Amino acid sequence: MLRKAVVMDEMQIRRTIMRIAHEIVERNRGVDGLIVVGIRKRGVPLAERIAAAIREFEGTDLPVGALDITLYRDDLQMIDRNPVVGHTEIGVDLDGRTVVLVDDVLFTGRTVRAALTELIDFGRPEAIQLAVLVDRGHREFPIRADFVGKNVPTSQNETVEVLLYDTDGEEQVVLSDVILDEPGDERGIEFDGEPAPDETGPARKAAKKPAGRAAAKRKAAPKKAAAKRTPAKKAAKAKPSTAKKRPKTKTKAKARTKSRTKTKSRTKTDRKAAAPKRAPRKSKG
Amino acid sequence: MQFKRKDLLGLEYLTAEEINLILETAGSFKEVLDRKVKKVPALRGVTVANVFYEPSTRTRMSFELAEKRLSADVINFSKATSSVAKGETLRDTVENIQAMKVDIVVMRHGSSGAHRFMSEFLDASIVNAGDGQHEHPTQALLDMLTLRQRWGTFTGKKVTIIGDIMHSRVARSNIWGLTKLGAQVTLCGPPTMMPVDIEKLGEGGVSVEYDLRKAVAEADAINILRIQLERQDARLLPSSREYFEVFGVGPEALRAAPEHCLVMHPGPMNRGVEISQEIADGDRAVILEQVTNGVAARMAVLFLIAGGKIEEDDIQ
Repeated sequence: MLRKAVVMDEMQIRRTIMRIAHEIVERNRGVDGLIVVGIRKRGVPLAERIAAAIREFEGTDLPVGALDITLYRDDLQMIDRNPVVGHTEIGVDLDGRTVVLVDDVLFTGRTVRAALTELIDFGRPEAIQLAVLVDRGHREFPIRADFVGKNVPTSQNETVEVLLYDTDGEEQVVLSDVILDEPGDERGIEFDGEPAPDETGPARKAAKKPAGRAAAKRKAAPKKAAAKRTPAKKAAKAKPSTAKKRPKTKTKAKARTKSRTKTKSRTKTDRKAAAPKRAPRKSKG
Repeated sequence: MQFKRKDLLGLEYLTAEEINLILETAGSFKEVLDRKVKKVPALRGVTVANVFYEPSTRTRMSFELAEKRLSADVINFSKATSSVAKGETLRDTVENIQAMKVDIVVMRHGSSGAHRFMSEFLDASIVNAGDGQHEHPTQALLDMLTLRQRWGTFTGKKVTIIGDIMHSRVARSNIWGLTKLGAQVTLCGPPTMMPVDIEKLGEGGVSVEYDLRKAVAEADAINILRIQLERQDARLLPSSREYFEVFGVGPEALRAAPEHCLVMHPGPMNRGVEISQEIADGDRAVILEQVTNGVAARMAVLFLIAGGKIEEDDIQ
């Protein structure tokens, strides 16, 4: 992986956690019946920090749980042949409680889907809310976070890494490029040095999706401006920045893959190219 | 650490790292057994056949429960109610089960090495649930899981196995497993039930002692084996009563052991033959804990085997 930008530094992470903690208390009108549950691995220290922040200004110790979703994944046999199964520790009865589920990055929504299934095996919570440090878009399930630290627009070929002292020895959120090691790596299909229009379009819009109503008002103006921009303009804007990130030297195998993927993705890209054109019309209607 | 085995034939074939991975995974699965909903979808879509050529209560129930806790589809087969009674061979039976697209076969068989033979021509994974007098790997794994939960480590720990060593597959699996993880094993039993050169098994940490009191004197745990009268071709004991007098573990024998010594038994227990009533129900006994751990250990094995098979497919 090739690191290309630090999205959040230590101070920003600290402030963001504090803000999320305040939002949680405000939204729930206090802390009665709340439990903070982190999704392993990095959701757990984040949950602990949120609980610590709430303790700081509310003076109440919230129970903190840890959820390991390995056994609930729908892609268990595809992604990781022998994933390490960690412990789940909830500690309290979930019946009637409001669970604040915490994770580091919200991406496809599959992890959260698995976590929700697992949580309801522990009881019947009154409500489950979702808090994430980073929302990078590209949802595959109808899942939306209630509390978002930062929206980071990404392409499928990028990764967002949250590094915490507790688990990684450093504290920052990093945006990186995925470098293709093997010719058959399917993750590179869409990436051609030139992002497909939908990668910049919906992802960017999702990134600007405000966390609350107040934020929606604040963000209304820039959102409208973004909607007026034509997809062609957006693509043109995106070109120079992404073009820089292409590796200068290519192996023959990689070159072969890229030429293969180009033809493969052409129809897909064409199909997707129509999507952003429709979007402004819809919003006007 | 990846578990790349297609089958679990015995602990003799596993490395210390692989055994540790199974035990670690089993620790996580034990937590699942304490939940309100004691079921996870990890093996959804996987079909497991329990093929038991020998009678079994605990092992079979434990495997079936483990499979159901992992959401696998389960089919059961027993010798008495199958075509084996009509003369069908082992290979034919298991190949037919495979033709029904079963993914994992959990098998118990009276012949040592039956699983190894089957694994050579079956695509499905085979899990050994006991083969003759050879190995009973999942029993040893649950024994080791119980000890690991108490001790944390096996290094420098001493385990004494008492009883019918010759006919015991549990003893052999325990010898291989415990010595690989750094424990010392002492075997104790009547000389007629002690195989020649048994101390050559394991990784150098095996000794034989015929005096029960000396055998338990430094033991951190004792594992009492059942006297398997059904496996004995000739009467190797004068009487059960005499056996209890010399090798039966009662309060007096246990006084020779350290205070912290744990008492284990793979079951079913013959009370008054190899273990006394007081010891079986005493506070040092972890026998029921072993039964609970059995489900967790078997869940771990099935989970890792299911993943291991995919790894092998990918390599091909």
